[in-house]
Amino acid sequence: MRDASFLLLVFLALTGCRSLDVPPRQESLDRIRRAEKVIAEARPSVHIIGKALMVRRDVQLRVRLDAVNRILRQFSGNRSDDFTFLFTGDHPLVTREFLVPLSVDLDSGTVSVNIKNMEVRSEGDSLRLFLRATGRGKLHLTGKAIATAHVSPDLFVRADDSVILRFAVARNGDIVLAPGYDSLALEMTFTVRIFSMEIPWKHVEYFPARSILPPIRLPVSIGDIVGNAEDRYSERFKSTRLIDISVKLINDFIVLEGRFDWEDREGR
Amino acid sequence: MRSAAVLVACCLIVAGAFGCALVREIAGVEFDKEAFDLARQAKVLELHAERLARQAKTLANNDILEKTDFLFLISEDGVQAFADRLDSITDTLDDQTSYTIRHVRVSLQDGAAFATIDAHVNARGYGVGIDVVMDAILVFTLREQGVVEGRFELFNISPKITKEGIFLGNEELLENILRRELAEIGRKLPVFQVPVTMPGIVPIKGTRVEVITRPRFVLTSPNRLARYRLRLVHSLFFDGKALLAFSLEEITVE
Repeated sequence: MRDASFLLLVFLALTGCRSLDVPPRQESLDRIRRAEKVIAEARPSVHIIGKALMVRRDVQLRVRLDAVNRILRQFSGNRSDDFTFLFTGDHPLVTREFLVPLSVDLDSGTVSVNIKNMEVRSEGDSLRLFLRATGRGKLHLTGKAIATAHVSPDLFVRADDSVILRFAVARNGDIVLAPGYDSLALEMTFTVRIFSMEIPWKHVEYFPARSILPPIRLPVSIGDIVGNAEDRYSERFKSTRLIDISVKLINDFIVLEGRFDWEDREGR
Repeated sequence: MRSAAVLVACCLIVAGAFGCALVREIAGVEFDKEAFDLARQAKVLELHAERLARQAKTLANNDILEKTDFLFLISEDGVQAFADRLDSITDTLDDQTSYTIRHVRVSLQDGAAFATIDAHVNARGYGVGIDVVMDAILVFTLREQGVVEGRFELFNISPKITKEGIFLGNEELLENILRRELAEIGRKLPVFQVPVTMPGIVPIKGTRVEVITRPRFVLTSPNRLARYRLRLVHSLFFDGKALLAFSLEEITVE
C-alpha cells in the first residue's frame, strides 16, 4: 500500500496537481521595498556603534572593573580566617634598650587575618589590587623579657600597599585574576607585657602576595565546552582553546582578545 | 495491490484531463524561480528590518556598552568557525525523513544574524532526496549549565534549484518538508556551542605555603566556593560581529 501511495504521490507531482505556493512577484517586490526603507532608517545609528567595537581576533571579552570589585567584595567582609599564619620558628621580633637590654624572640603563635576590603583599580597599563585586612592572635615569645604577647587587633596590610593583578587565561580556559610576584607588607602591632608594663611594638613582615591571595577564578571560561548528555554533538566542540591572547586595560574594562584553536590537542 | 491499481487508474484519468500540464511540468516551466527567490529575499529583509529596528531602540535607550559586566564580542569568522563544526551532521526529522547538513553559512549584519543551511533531505523509505536551503535567524542563549549556545530559528525552506525541473519527482518530499511547521524542523536541527562557559559554581582552591626563612611560618587560606548567577541580557549584532552582554546578578562566597 505504501508503494502504491508513493506512486500516486509521484504521479500527482509529475502531473502538476501539486505546486509550490509562491507569492506573486509584485507582492514580494512591495514587501522588499517596505523592508528596505525600515533598514535604511534604523541602520546608521546601529552601524556607528558597531564600527566602534573592534574585534581583531575571533573573540573579545570585556570585563567591567566594577564587576570584578563586586566579586572581590564577596571575598572580603566579616568572615574570619581568610588566611592564617602559623608561626613555627624563632625570630627576633623585639630588641630594644628599655631600662635593661630587652630582646624577645617569636617562638610560636597563630594569627588569623580577616580581609576587610579588596578593590581593583586601573593605574595606567596595570591593574592594581588594594587590600586592607585586620587580624588577631596570640604569639608566644621567649627571651630575656618575661613576657607573653598578643597581637593587637589592628594588624593590617597597609592601605597604600597594592599588588599588580594579572588577568590570565588558564590552560583549561578559566579566566583568573592572580597577583603577580609583588610582596605585600603586613604590619603587625604587638603589645609586649613586661611585668605590669605594656610596650607597644610595630613589626613589618613582607609576604609574597600570591601566597596570601589565591587566584580568583571569574565566572567565565573560554575554550573547551562543558559537555553533557543532552548535547549530542558536543564532542565536535571539545578541542577548542584560546590562543594568541592579548590583555589590555581600556578605560574601566579589562579587554581580552584571542583566537580559537580547533586543532585536536591530543595530536600535538 | 488491487487498491493501488485503482488509485493509479484514477490518476491516469486525471492526467488525461490535464495532459498539457504533465508536459509543462516535466519541462519544469511551471516553476517561477525568480518569484521564489524574490519571496525568499522579501522574507529575509522583513526579518532583518524588524530586528534592526528593535536593536536600534535597545541601543538608544540603554548604555549597554558601558554598564554591562561581561561583554563578549565574537567576530563573524569566530561564529562561522562554530557553525563549521556542524558540517556533515546527519540526523532525522521523523522516522522516514533524514537530513544531512552540507554547510552552514553565517552572516552577521547590523541588527540580526542570519544562517543559510545547505542540507540534503532524504526520504529513506522511498530512496529519494532533495537539496534544500534553509534560512534561519541565529539566536544565542545561555543554558542553565552555563553553556552559551547558538540556535537556528528557521523562517524559510527552499528547494535548491540549479536548473529548472531539477526537483521533479522529489516534489512530494519537498512539499512534505515545506508543509511542516518550520519551528518543528528548527527544533530538530543541532545547536552549536560557543566555546564560552559561564559556570555558576566556581571552586577556589585554598592555599598552603610553608615559609622556611625567618620567621618560619605556615600560611593557609581555606577552600572557597563562589556561586555566580549570570544572565544573558542582550544579544546584539553588527556588521561582522556579535555582541553578547551578560550581567552578574548574584555572587555568594561560602
